[in-house]
Amino acid sequence: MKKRTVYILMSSIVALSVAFFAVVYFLNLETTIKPIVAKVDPSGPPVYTNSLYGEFDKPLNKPMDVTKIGEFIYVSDTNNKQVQVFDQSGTSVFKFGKEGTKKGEFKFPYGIAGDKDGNIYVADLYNGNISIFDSKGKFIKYFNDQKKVLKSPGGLRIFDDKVYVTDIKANKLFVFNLDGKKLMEIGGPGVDEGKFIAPNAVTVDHDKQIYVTDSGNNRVEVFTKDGKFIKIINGSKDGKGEPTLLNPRGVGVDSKGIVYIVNNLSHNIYAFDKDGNQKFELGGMGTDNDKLYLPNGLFIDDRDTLFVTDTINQRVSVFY
Amino acid sequence: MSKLRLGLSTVFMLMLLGIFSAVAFAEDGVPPTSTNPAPGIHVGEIDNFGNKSTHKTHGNFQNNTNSCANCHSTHNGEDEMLLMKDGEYELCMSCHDGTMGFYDVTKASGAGTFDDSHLSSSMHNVDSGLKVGSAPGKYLNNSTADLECSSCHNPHGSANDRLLNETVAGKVFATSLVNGVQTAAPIGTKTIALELTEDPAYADLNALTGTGGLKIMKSNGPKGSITYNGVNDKIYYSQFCGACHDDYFAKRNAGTSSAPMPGKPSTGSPITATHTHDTYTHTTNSSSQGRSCAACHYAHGTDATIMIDAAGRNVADLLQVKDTAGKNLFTQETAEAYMKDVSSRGSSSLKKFTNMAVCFACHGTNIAPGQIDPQFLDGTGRLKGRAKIK
Repeated sequence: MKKRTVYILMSSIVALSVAFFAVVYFLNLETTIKPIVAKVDPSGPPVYTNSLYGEFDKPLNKPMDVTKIGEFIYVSDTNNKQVQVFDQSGTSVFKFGKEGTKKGEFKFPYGIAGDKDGNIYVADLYNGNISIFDSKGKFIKYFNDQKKVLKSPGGLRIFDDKVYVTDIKANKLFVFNLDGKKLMEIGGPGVDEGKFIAPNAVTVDHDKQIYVTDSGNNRVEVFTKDGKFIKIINGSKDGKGEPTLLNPRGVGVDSKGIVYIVNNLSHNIYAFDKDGNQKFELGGMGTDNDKLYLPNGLFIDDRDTLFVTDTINQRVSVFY
Repeated sequence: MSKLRLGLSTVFMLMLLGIFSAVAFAEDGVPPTSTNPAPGIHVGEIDNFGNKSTHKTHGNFQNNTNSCANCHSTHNGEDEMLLMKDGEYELCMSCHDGTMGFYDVTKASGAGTFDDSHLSSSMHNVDSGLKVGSAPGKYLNNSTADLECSSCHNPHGSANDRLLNETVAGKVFATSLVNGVQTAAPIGTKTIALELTEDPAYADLNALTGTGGLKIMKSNGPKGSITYNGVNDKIYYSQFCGACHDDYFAKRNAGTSSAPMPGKPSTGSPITATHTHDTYTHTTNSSSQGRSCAACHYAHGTDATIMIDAAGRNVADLLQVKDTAGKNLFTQETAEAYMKDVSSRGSSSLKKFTNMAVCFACHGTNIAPGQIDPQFLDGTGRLKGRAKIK
């Protein structure tokens, strides 16, 4: 090969590399590149992909919780007293609910979850009830809390036809079957192991362990499926030291057993391994794409995609 | 040929560099530890005296604190306080919206309510861009600051109950006579004491001891006790309101021609005093019943569901009223219509009583002796609502 050809080849490769990074830099493609890079390394933390904002003139106002049912993403749009439904691309498909105390109306729509038939359950913290809607947003009925135990439902998830509800004022987790029969209750007010102050969220992992965010005590408590206390995750070693969590909210566990906890007042999501050791964190205070500002609700779908409600930035951010 | 090899290895190096750069995009931050969970967030584990630190939400900062970054941005603040100012109301409301179970400011409390969804609501509209200097009855108050939660409360802690600020609209509001001169109370002096009692709705939380140590208190306005320099906290409370609504903080005959103060319009000389009144006013600067701001007004806000009438009844009470046959006299709708504030100003003005019922509660038996149905009177011949006036 001629010397000249080699030089041309080399310089063109250099030029191409420079051009590539220049394009990435100047066209702000960093956020597009990140998920691609992340896919190459599946053991790494999820990375920001996009956000759901809703319509420009009718944005989300204090979105408190999010869930995915089928291919749609349902967001409790709390200050607008409604539920907004998005498709995966972030287009607002439809909304339902308005302010009030009657059927199909909300005062503080909070925890949101879907059953296997695609019905939507919405907990209302102020109205003290759970409304059930069909997948089109038509009110069907109130959740039949047979013993009338719910006073101020907050976090709400459905796993294996069981409804898990945290009651913030009662400081308890209730587990019902879909007919509203109470199967179990955990907690009660307090700072001891197994007690809660203002539990705001709940989830269940693949081993059927129950995770409850104990916001007032700055920790997440883990229970067996029978409600027996196992351990505390609060950011300290073995969960026995002072908490580093500050007003923790949404909680979720991915298919690898990594526990994600939304830490509202430090504006990020902490990830812990099964033993409660911190692995990494996402977000941080700000208004940029991958930042969060007073985040609250968290949902992890079966593809390990994270959806987090970002209350001040008025959006739901997606990390994959 | 050796030059070609060098060239290829350079290319290979460039490619590697490229790959690592791309990965570098995905990597930022440091490995979190328990005391440094995230960049800029540090949590003290040991307090000033070598003991294990306990968490307190407001105030009680330790000398090694690094809680600041929760609310302040060291290098990217939006105002001179390095706050993300737009988020102040939301920051407060991330806990005080009911999601902590207690101290929900959207529910009726000793300060009224911030719920604007009911009939006849009016409130200190924080987070609406309202200027402190636009307060009704403002005279010397020309503050251009936005009305926020922090206009009245200090999230960092205060000597006063309920974290009430020691400085309002830029100055120390609490003054008392020292050698005949109105003098500001030193910072750190408790001037506002509130009538706080343990809230029975949270008896189970209040019974907790140990590091929890949380006590959920209920307020019933100023306590009516001497707090500093012989002055009653009700007067300091009115001074607090008067820091912004300065013209309303006055004695009954302040500024009238019978008791002229220098610089009043009635004296013909330029206005120099704080009050522009050239008329009588209802006394607001006394600790006697009905003569301080808290006698008639809530601090946060009001609406038809929490206001009461001269007989001391609210909507919930009216729903219990039955005729002799045991039939309810009011429905929710008629009860709210009864409590509707129809004041010509178009605002219910954060009042504790609907319309002018507070005037009637005190003066009713004097201006209309013998005309009031005895069922609305208490044992001393006064309207029942009078007892609810601070």
